[in-house]
Amino acid sequence: MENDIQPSEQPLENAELNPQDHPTGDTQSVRKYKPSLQFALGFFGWFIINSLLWGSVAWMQTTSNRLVELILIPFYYLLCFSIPLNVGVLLVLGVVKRWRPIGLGVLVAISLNIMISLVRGVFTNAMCFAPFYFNAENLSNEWLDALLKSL
Amino acid sequence: MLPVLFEVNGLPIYSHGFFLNLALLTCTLVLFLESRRRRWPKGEILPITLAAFVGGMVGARVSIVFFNGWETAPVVLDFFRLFDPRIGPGSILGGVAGAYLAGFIASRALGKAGCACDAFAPAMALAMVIGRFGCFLSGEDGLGKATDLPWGVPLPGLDHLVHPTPLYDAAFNLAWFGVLIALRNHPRMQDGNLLKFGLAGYALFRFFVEFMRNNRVLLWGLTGQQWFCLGLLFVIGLYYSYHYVQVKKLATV
Repeated sequence: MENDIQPSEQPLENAELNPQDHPTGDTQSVRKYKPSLQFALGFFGWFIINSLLWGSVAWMQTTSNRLVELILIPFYYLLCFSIPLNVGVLLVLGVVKRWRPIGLGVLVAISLNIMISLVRGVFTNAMCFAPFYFNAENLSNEWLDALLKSL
Repeated sequence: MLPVLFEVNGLPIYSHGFFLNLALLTCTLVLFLESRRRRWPKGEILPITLAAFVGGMVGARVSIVFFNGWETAPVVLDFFRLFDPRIGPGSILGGVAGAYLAGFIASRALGKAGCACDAFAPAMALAMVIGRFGCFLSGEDGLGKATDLPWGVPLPGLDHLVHPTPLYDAAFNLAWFGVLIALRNHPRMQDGNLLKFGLAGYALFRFFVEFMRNNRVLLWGLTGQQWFCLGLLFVIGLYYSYHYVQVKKLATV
């Protein structure tokens, strides 16, 4: 029975959960709820942040409004570092013990997207980078291409 | 060649994607069975496997810049292209490196003192056996260089036979899978040694098979993949040398 566990026997990650810190004093519900909430935060947060990044750049490429372009420029540069940003954030969330459930949520979100693309790859002739040679015009990436040329 | 394996209501099922998914499923199954046999706690299987999966996919994609050149960077370095089904995952060597690194970091983050990664070694070898059939059937990278050996295969658009290098890879990995399964209980093949041994064996094989493949030559007549294999063998050799010195020191003390 989990309720019979003495404070000294509690797992280390639950050590900071004090009944007095919680309005209802119900530590068991906190124990069950908190990691799942953090997981959901990581999972859905990843979708929201990355959709904003990707969507804003996609919008910027189609809009002719100079003011909107100026507002969205920071997103544009953030997207250029999307791999190190995502990997870096994942590393930090994974290493810091308190944030690990958030990290797991992010990890599951990325894995899910990759799995979906792999399954979708069964219906497209996605060989290992064959599109670079046979279908490169459909995969051109003007914004990153321009940035890399400017380096 | 058979790029389209079969059709379902007019929808083509491509051999490369089909065998890639089958390989990943087999890898997961063998990994699950191996981790259960090794009594690997369930709470550690998921995060380490997911980290290795994501690390492997990112590594496979990013390594293409090194193997295929800087001109691939606009697509390779775009994180969101990782979810583009029109692009294949990338290089298996980069994938293995990324998976190892990410699995190691996840393992350390979870506070594991030893290495539970040995469960990955036979799983990866068997997955490569299956995955390479997809590469062969789709005629990926033109399969290999021209040959007049009796087992050379014809390729559409070519008037000569070529080395079926994905099948060489599959044959080696099948044999290597047997070796790894036979060695998995050996006392010296624990705490990550089985995986290092498995990777070293594949790197050595891949170095030689690269002479028959069509990959881009990077430096001194060697392809990027061969340089990668040499680097991997050097790092593993360095690890074992250090380990050997440490054991010898302890023995003298």
